[in-house]
Formats: sequence, structure tokens, C-alpha cells
Amino acid sequence: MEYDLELDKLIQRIKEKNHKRIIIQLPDGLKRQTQNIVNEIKEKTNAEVLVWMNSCYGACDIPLGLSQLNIDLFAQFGHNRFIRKEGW
Amino acid sequence: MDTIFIDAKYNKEIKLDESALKTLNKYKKIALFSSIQFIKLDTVINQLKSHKLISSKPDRTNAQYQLLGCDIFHENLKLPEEPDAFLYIGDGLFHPRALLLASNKPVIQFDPIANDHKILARKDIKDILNRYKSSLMKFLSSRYIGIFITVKPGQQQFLFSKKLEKKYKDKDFYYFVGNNFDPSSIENYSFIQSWVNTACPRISLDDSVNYSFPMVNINDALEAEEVLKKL
Repeated sequence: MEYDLELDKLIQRIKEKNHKRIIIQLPDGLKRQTQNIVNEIKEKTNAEVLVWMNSCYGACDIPLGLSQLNIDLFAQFGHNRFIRKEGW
Repeated sequence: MDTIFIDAKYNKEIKLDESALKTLNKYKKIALFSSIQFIKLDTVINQLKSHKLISSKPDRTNAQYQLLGCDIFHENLKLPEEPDAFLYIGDGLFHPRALLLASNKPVIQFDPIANDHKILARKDIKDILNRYKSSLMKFLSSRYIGIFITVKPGQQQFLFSKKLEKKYKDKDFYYFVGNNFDPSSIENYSFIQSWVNTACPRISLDDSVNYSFPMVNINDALEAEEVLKKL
């Protein structure tokens, strides 16, 4: 694997906050890692892991409506926090 | 809801090969950028110490040298001075094309995975720019304008888009709201003569090959005549 997926950091956060249901969002280039990521989180935590199926163009592209599914943690891979500014 | 971002950084050393260095030797002042995956640039910076390296942190980024796909406007790059060329470290064309849109200067893209580099120039996006120029002209001559607003928090610019009504009092503006931009749904509103995009600015540029109606970005629409003169 050429990229550091920092699963230890993610797993630590899940354990610390006792998250029960999480969702991961991956850009296209990392989508093939989905099975490994889901399996490792499930093995090491008690959290249920959902996968966002659609686009992941950046930190500006966070899925809407996740509250309907009672998600405790949203994890986006491949980007970091986006500082919002109007007018591009 | 708790939120975490995982950078997924490339975990091997990033080092320019001889061929890339030879290309870069043609330029004295080089502005260096990368996506967040390839931001570990210590070796590259050291390799370029005989050049004048220009470093910046564009507006919406979190790290020095980081580039986002929406950094297509020169002022967003926050360059302390104008480079002779850009060096972009990373794979794919999405980010280096942002630099081509933001500047007339050549962009050298070094892909650390392929260990290969490409030299990109403004002519490589000529078709995109020609279509965009045509869209700007159509916007200026249109009366009925559709404004696309996304509800994605990172891209939603509804209040900002209201500036158009103040600037263009001779046009009628209609506001269309959605999650994602879908060209097929836009084609249902045939009374709209021209569209303004307030979501990701690349929709109006790179994606314009996928639709046939004119669409321009909100900030270009606000200064359409001035932007046209530069294209």
C-alpha cells in the first residue's frame, strides 16, 4: 500500500468516543481499499461501518443527510479540512 | 456527528528524477504545489535549492504547498511573487490543470508513483477555455439566467450569488437548488438562456464537454467583461 491510511488514528477515535456507527468516504483512487478498511475497523472496534457510495471530490463534498442514519462518526479519506470562503 | 479527515499520505520518499530536474533547470523561479497526499516535500525542496523556490498556502488549504482543485484563480494561490513555472507533485491532471487555469506559466507535473514528469501548457486546455469564453459571451447577452446552488455546505454560495441581481438589473435570475450538478436535469428548463454555477468551479470548465448549454462561474459572471478581455 503506497498510502498511509492512518487506521490506527481512526480506530483510536472510535474507541475513545465509543462510536457505534461510522461511515467512511473515499475518493476513487482509494475505493479499492474499502474492504480492507471496513474489515480492519470491524475487527478492532465494535462499530458498525457504512460506506458512502457516491462522489468524494474533496472536503467540500461531504454527504448530506447522514443524521437520518444516526451516524456517530464521519471519516473522509484523501483530503483534509476545507477552509470555507465565498467566491472561490 | 463527529468528523475526521484522513490525509492518506503517500508513504514513500518523493524524489525528482534526473529527467525532471533537467526540465526544471530551464526555470529559475519555481512555485511548488502538491495535493495533500504528496505533501512530504523535504527531498524535493532540497533538490531545488539552486532555484528560487516560491512557497505559498492558498486560501482554503491547511498546509503550505497544498493545492486544491478549486484553486483556479490566480489570486487564490497567494503567491508572494510570480514564478517562471509551476512544479506540481502528484498523480492525475485535475490539480495541475487548476494551475493552468490560474496562470499562463508552464506547469511541470511530477508523478512520484510513475516516476515520470509531463510539461503542461495553456494550449493543453485551449478547448476548455474556448468553450468558457463562448459561455461568458452568451451570459452577457442573455436575459434569463439560471443560478445553480448546491446544498453541500462546502460549496453553497446562495447569498453570494445574490450579488448578480444587483450588478445586472436588466437580467431575470432564477435560482435552482440541488445536491449535485446534473446536466440532464438542467436541460428541462429550456427557458433559461444561460447558467451560473455557484458550486465547484470545475463543473463550468473541465465538465463543459459533457453538456451543450452555456455555464459560467459565479465570480466570473460578476466580472464577465473584464474576464473576457483576459481570455
